[in-house]
Amino acid sequence: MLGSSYRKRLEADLIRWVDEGLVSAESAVAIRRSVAREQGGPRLPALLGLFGGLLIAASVAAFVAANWEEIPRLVKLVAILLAIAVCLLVAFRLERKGSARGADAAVTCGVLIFAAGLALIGQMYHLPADWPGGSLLIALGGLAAAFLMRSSGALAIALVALCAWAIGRWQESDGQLTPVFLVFYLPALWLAFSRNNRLIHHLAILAGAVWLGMVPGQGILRVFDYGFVAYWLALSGLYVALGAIALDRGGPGLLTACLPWGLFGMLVTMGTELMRILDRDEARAGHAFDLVFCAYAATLAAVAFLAWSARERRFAWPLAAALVLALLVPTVFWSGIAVAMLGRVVVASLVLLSATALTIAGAAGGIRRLTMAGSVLFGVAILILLWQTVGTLLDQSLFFFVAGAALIATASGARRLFARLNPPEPEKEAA
Amino acid sequence: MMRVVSADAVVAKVPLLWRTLITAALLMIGLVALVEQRARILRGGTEVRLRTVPIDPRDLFRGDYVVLAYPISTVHAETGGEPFRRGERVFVTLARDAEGFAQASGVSREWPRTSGDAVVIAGQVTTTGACALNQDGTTDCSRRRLRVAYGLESYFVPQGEGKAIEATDRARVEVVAAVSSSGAAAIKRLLIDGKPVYAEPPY
Repeated sequence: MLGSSYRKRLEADLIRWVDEGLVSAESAVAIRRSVAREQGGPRLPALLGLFGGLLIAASVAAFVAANWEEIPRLVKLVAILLAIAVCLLVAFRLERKGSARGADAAVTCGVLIFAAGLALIGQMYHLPADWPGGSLLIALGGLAAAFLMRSSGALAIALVALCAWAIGRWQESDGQLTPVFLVFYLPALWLAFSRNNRLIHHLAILAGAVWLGMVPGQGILRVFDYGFVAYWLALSGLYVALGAIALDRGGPGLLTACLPWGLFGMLVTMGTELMRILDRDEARAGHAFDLVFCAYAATLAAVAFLAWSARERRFAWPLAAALVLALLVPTVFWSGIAVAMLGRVVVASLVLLSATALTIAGAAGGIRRLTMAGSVLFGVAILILLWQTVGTLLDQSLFFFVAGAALIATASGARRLFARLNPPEPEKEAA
Repeated sequence: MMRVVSADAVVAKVPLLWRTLITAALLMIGLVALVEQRARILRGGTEVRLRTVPIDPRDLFRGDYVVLAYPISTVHAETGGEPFRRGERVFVTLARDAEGFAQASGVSREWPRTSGDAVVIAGQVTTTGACALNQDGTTDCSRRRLRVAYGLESYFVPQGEGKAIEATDRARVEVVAAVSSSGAAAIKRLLIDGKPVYAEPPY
């Protein structure tokens, strides 16, 4: 998977390496050609084709709407069916001509018309207004088209529709778990594995996160318990660990998409946990229900695997430490000491240490997202702690002083620590 | 790292023409099946007469339609046993009153044993603490009931006519619904003062 930022950086590096004599001009050309081949040709024509198709579909929809009452119902139905057939015929012809992206755009248009057709048929035939049911039908149509026509656009529509269906049914049924989601999600995930498309990877990972996030049930909306935050924190940690394992071992691309969403979840949940120490009532223990323990077990197993199987230990070990420190935060609340000063100091220290470890992992592994997430968490934590005085101002001053001194000491020892973790290979003497 | 059989590689073994035809067929059959399912209810379903209370006639995405409520939309559940939950699928037994209008005579999770001309209609619990809706359309919040949706709650009408139906006195509006042997229901006719205003052809 080649991002545009990687390609820009590679181009800049190639120019520098050729100038420095590290890479020959011929090798640079070969590398550029290889990258261009992996990128798979220009995307612009397919993208413009997709937009054009969407505009034509919108034009037809507006025309139909303008003459809605005059057009007999069966004619409308046949028109919708014909529009789908035409889209797939165009997709067939484009695929035969070798334009995979153009074919993908045509299939995407076909699935969109199928979705619009469902709404129109619902209106024409007075079907019950069941939008989650409609979303499931769209998801099924999208999945079929994504599999048979190898369309990424159809898969994107299917994943979004699956989420809409799961959320709708979850709300309707008072937060009952919908395990049937997996029956449709797992094939979608399998398809996403095959695709070299970053949007698809992110959507697939996000769809799984949405469903897993809803597992605790309607209590999230009604009787809120901080056990939910602990569950989401563990889930975020699991995503970060999975993303890191994939990055460390060179793929698959789908799993690497777990990293940014896991980091985002960690930022939100740890920020929430930290804010609790500002208020005595909010710092109450909360409950760790079975689901939280399951999430903790899965996350700790993934973290242990990351640390044990790491190829680049100076990236994986600080990250594993950051995750363990983050997982410790809710346990401080469960112990009930977070209402006292000692507990508050421990929570604040754990959050700051976790943020620092994230930043170290990012810097050591050259992963900007980790560095950024660690830095943002650190900054947000300082802001939250400064927002309201915990204890006296002198206590607060002492805490920041000790934390700052500890960080400076860590920074000075970091170089030696990294050198010990990954000792440089001794240079071979020239023969 | 992990090796997963590529879905794209698997499906590529099938010729493109066949894949295109199957995709087109699946999408089109999906739409036609929806229409046919509806038509089957209208063709062979048992007719029931329902008093209505039209409310709130507009939805941005689906054009003009009348939102309908019925006295059978609120159902009294027997006390005792496991309480009903929101989103649960239920079966409501409909009996006929003296004027021939349907009224709910029972609700259960399983298909009930019925006798005579009782009809069973399937629905979904939308609220467990709804106010009761009396035959005259007034609400009675002293008695808490289940609110059940049957898929008969919206009816699309030509643009601009939704308001007109809404403004009609609720006692004058009546719906004739068809109920299939599995309990699925569809609006067949909409009447004002006993005269059909809209009749629903199967296709």
